[in-house]
Amino acid sequence: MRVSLFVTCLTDLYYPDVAKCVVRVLRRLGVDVEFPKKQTCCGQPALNSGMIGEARSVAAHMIDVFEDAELVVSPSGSCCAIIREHYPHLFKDDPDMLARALALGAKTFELVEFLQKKLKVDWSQWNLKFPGVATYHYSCHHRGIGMSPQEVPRLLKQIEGLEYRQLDKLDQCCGFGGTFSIKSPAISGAMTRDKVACIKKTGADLVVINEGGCTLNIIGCCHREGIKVKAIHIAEILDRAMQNGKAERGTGR
Amino acid sequence: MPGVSQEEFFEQIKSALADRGEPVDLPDDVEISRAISPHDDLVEVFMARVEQAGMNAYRVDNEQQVSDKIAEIIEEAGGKSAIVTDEKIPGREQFMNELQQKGIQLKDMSDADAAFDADFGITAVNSAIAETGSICLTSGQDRRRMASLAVPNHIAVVRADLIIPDLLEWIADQSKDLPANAVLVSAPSKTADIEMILVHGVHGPKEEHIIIVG
Amino acid sequence: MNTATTDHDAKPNFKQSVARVLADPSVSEIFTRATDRKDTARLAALADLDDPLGVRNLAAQIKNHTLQNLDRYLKQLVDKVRKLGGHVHFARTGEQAKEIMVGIAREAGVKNIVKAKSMVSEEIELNDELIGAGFDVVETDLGEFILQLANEKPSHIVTPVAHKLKEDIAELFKEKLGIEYTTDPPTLTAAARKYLRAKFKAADMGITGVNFAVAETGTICIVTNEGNGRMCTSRPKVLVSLMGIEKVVPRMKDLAVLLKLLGKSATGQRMTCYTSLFNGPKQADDLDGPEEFHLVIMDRGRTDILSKLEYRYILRCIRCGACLNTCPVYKIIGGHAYQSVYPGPIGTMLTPLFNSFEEYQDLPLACSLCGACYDACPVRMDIPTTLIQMRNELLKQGYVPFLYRMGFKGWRIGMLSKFLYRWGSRMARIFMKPITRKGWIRWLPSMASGWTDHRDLPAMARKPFHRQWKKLLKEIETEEQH
Repeated sequence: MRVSLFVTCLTDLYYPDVAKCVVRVLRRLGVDVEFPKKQTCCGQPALNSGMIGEARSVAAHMIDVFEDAELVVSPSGSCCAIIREHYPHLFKDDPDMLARALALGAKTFELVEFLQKKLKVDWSQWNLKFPGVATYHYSCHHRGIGMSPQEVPRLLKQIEGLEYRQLDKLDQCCGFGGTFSIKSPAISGAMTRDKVACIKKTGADLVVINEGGCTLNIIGCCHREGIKVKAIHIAEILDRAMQNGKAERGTGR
Repeated sequence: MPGVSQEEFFEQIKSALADRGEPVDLPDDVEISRAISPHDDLVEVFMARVEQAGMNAYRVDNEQQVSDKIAEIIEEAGGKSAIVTDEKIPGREQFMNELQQKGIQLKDMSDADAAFDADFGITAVNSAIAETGSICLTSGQDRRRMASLAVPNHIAVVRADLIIPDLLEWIADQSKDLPANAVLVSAPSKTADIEMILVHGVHGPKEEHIIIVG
Repeated sequence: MNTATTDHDAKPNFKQSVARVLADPSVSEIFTRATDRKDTARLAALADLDDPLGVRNLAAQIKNHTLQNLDRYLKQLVDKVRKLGGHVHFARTGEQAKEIMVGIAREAGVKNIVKAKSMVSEEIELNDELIGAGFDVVETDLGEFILQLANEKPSHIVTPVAHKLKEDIAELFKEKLGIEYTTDPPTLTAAARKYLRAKFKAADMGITGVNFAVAETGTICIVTNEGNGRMCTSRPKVLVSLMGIEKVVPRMKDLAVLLKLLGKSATGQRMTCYTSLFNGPKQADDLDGPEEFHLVIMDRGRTDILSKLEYRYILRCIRCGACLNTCPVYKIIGGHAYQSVYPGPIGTMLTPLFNSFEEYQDLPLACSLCGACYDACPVRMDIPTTLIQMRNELLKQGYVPFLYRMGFKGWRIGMLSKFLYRWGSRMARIFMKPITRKGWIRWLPSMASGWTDHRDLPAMARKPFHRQWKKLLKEIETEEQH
């Protein structure tokens, strides 16, 4: 199987290590990964701001870039949701583009969704091991792609050595909302502090966030509030957990 | 008369609908919304849901037992008076005698205010719905809306065969013979307006007793 | 606690009102309590249905069909109501609706009016008008009654007094009803019951809103939990129901579908306590019930929404309040901060459309587009997408700052080219270097200051992924060979 990585702008510019882990994990599972070089952004910032014209042209660029891809995988659920849920709205008056947008939507997957639903990985074979205490932040856009708040925790619970602690108000927005965070800063800030307080309450030292925007927001607020918690993407956990498991297998028992 | 004429009003709506958009059909089949099938044990479902909603359900076999039950409920609550509608209520003859013997004051149905001073209101029902645990009371001859509303305690006597499965059956029923008023009672009167704290008996009865016969 | 801006006529200033409520931490506490349980109860109650989503889609379809043929169904309703002996009146505006109501009351020679809770009457501030015209008007829903005594506006469309503490109500009842100070909700409720009983007995006119009006039969349906709706429709000799044009449904079975969703979505009840269906005035054999029935059908900006295809579907709303209960913004800022009759997600859409984008330009922005409301809405309104549309409308109407617009024009050019994207992100990192300390930025200029007012921003990665890809591939290939 061959997939094209849609790294997304935030992951590209802020969290390249996450992207590297995505590639490593996929390769270990026997998936070929390619990286279309012309990719930039899905258009979400403009779309969220109501800049429909700008969003449309950037979306058209995305569609061009990934037109020939067999499958598209991304570490960010929100960008997937934009492609799947909103591109059809953007091109509803252009049947030609609409068809292309729908075709891209049909082959675009968020990483966990891809691993669990498309690849149906049997993790028991991997002997996953990762030490730590983690909680998990459910990003809103995962709702839009049909992932429940329990999807990722189910996966986390399969990892030996990892203690999972559920967050209060698990399915409540962290207050990022793209340009919302600077257009309605007071409300956004209050929401974020609320979220961060819930994270602090778990006492976990890791918070799993599979979304660049939420990560910037939550971790930025934790830093401001002096809360010591590290954000980690599920790809990073899986990469290390697979290595740990493999290492143990390698040394023999 | 103030306001606008019907013609003018509808003209405005029509012009707003100059573009009606992609036509959407009115779905003929709404069965997807069904919660209870006719094959379910309707009495059992009904009673369970009545209780879940904070009402009291009792099952008795015959009209004499209806009378006994009513006397027991009123006695337990220390009720001193009751208003009983003139309609056909299962066991009516028996319990009227019984209540009279027990010295319960029976209010005058022709007095519009009587229900406001009665401790209990006793009525029949038109139908009952298993899905929602509701009783349906309608207006009409020999009935008084206040007898089930202005009283602090309401007793409804339901024949078991009047229990229908689902709102869908009830609605089908409603389309035929329209009373001026029909009400579905699905819980005792309640509010949580003050700090989300539940309080029963705001304007309607605090206690709903439903006796199922047969 | 008082978050009320009792004067909705004052020019709305959302930023100010938000700042005010955020300064008081009890607001979010109170509104979180007022919404969380209902939100959880909704999900539990919907589990009654085999396929809740299917039923919600069905409801949406019914409503869409109805709106698209609204003229036909309203006409059918009007004819049926008249056939049942009711009078029908038409109001283009709120002013007209009020004139009609006053006219009905005068003509019938009534004095004492009891009113059931109705959002549409809140829209037009009906009570002020009737009281001004010399009638005794009393709200009979406990929450609305409290608000009337306190001279405040609702802060939630289902539980209007969500913002008040029992201590506030204790003070209020002591002052206005002359009872002893108590914070015990049952005692407070009993005091209101006693006061309102006398009002019900003396009432000669009842006013209600309309939850649903059934075209095929002329049936009006209202739902209440307290029983005040039943009182208002049964006791007084004149009954007037006020409805917006969008409340009509074609058939009884459509009513069934919507009733199955309303109570569950609003309060997590399988069914609201009392579902009243009434068909015109009382009949010949009836011992009680209204002798006169009037239906007032009001437009008040609804045809304007109806005429716009992208917004028409908003008229599907059945006012259950589920979107408020689940909204993280509403939970934090409460109802009054919106400075409009309809708060929360539904309010962010309806308010600018009913009034103007100019007055309420901040509302479509007051949403993180998290989609919780879309998930909760019983008639499947895609509120986030609509808000994006409304943000676009703000742009078209010129309410988006120049700098912001230019920023996005530049951004667009950058995102269409691999070279500009890569070069631009490099430049951004260089520009941010002077304000970066130990990997964090604590201050950002101009429009971006909103971010650093509340949180820090990590520095961008030294080497973005696109510059590491080739090396990564080589590394992996080497690893795999071993």
